[in-house]
Order: sequence, then C-alpha cells, then structure tokens
Amino acid sequence: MKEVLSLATKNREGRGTSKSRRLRYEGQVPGIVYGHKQEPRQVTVAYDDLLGAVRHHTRMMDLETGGAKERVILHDVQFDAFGMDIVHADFVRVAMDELIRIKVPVELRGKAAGEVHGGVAEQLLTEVEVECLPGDIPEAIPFVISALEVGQSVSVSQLVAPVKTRITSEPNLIVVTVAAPKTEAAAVAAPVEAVAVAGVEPEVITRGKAEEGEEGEEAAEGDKKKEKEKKK
Amino acid sequence: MAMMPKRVKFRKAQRGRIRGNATRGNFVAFGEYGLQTLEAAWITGNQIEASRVTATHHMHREGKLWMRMFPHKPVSAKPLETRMGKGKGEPEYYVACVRPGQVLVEVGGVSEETAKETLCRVSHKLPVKTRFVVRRHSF
Repeated sequence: MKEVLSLATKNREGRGTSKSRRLRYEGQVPGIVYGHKQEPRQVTVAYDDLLGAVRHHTRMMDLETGGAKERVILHDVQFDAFGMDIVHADFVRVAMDELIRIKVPVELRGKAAGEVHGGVAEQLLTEVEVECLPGDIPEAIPFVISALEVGQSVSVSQLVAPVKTRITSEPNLIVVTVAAPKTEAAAVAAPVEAVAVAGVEPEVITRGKAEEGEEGEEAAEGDKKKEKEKKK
Repeated sequence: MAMMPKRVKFRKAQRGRIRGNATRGNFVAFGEYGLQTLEAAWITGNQIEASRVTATHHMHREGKLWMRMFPHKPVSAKPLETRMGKGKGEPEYYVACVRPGQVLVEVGGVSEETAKETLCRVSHKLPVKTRFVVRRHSF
C-alpha cells in the first residue's frame, strides 16, 4: 500500500467569507470533511502542508484532529482566480475496504506514427473515472500511442486498467486521435477570404426592430385617422 | 483581417467597466499549456489575429491552438477633423474584454519548451501582462 500522508487539522468554529479570509491571512486553509453518513465537519489545514500534498498529487491522507485520526481522500481543491493560491479544500471520508470512484489522468507515451507524416495527436480526454479500493488508486493510466496512424483514434474501452481497478467512464469516449495534417490549399485560401471580408460590418439582427416598426406604423396611421375625424 | 462577430443585435455599445477577476475561463481547459492575463484590458480583433498568426507560424503547423477570447464589443470612433456632436461615431473595430485570470490562448500537442516559446511570442502581440500556465489535473 502507498504511504499515507498525515495532515494536522483543527476544527473550525466560524463560517463565512470574512472568517475564512482571516484564516487565509494566518496561513490556514478552510476545508470540510464529509461522507460516510456522518455529520460534515469544518476544519482548517496549514496552507504549506496542503500545497505540498497537492503538488505531489497525494490523494489519500490521514487528518489528525486533537489525537483522533480520520482517513480521507482529497476530493476537491478550489483555487483563486489565477489558479495560484488554494482557497478551500474538500475531504471525503473513506474506508479502506470500500470501493470508491475517482478520476485518474490518462498519460500518453511515445510519439504517434501519424505525427511523423504531419498529423497531430489530440488528447480529447485527459482523465477517466476508475473504481478501486482507496489503497489501489493509480497515479495515472498510461497508454502507448506509437502505433497510431493519421485518422486513427483510441477510445476508453481500449485503455488497460491497472491491477485491481476498473475503468467506469463511458467506453465509447475518444481519448486521443491523430488528426490529418493541414493542407496547403486551406492555408493559401485563408488570406484571400480575409481580404474579401475585410471592411464589412456585421449583420444587425433586425427582427425585433421590424416588428416594432410595423407596430409603430400602424399606430401612426391610427393617429392620422383620429386627426382627420377631429378636423371633420 | 480583424476579427468581428458575424451578426450583432446592436451596432453600437457603451464602454462599460471591467471589474474584478475572471471567474470563468480562468484555467486551461482544452490544451496542455496556456497564456493567462494578469490585467484587465480591451484586446482588439487585430491584436487577437496577430497573436494567432504568430502562434501558428512558430508552431510550424504542429500541435493545436485554441484562441479563448473573441471580440464581441464594438468600439466606435469619430472621423478625423470632425466637430464634436452629431451623435455617436460609427463602429471602428471590435474588442474582447478580458479580466485578470482569463486564459487567452491555449496550445496542445507540443513540448513545453515549444509552448513556452510560442506563448512568449503571443504575449508580445497583446497589450497585457501575462503568465504561462500548465493544465492542472483534477482531484
């Protein structure tokens, strides 16, 4: 079994933006522990410890709170707008003998044969969901793409699940495809089209205006009739 | 050719104000590497097109490029040597309003070194400070 990281946590009293912000200033990250039909528990974790765990892609950890240990999985991490600072963390309680579903990255290895002929390997799916015991979570699912020619693709069903794991993602989903090289004709045609379209204003959607215009005309005609009647 | 929408509901728009940071489109979603803006700005259609051209040129038709900004906002201007008044000017060009944190360009299917070089060249075409970002896998 893989080594399990121990993370010291404290129970958190306050809730809300201002209290969470104050915690972040003190070098703590607000988090929540839930799962296993127990009451959710609000906690704080030291920022540096959590950042280390995230950088090393640690999934499973023991949360230590006042001497009590709880085995959890790092389920979600929220970052700030720039993706630099951790703002919040979600931990889910797990039992070591209970199957869990978790997303694992797909790692492409080698260079596709089609790339030699100008094709481009496009990875459309970077993660797949697997079902396994918490102790057997694979770091990644590798796939060698060296045999892929232009136009060929690999679906989830062709991935080989690591030992004691089962891939639960949709089997028809395409993981990687080798796209055909761009033709010279397409490259030349682009600037010509650009010249033709240059200086043209976008079309204005006038449906609403036309209806309004018709209504307006009708109203104007009505006013004219009324005026004529008055004159009479 | 400057980028612009095909159809618009209104020809002219008010200037508005760019407030806060990007809450959407602030992570690498399509490729492996991206260019993230650190400033709020209007990026013109010409600048977007110039950055696209320089990126495709440097990547030598390898890999894939995603432009994650589009100039939706019309900017009007008055002709030269015109007296003030007589209403709002005609639409001159279109801009994309970007907020700090937004990922502007993404590349995939190339090495990190090539991606860095490409996005460095792209950043020179843009009027904002940027940083290089790598796709983050979920937990």
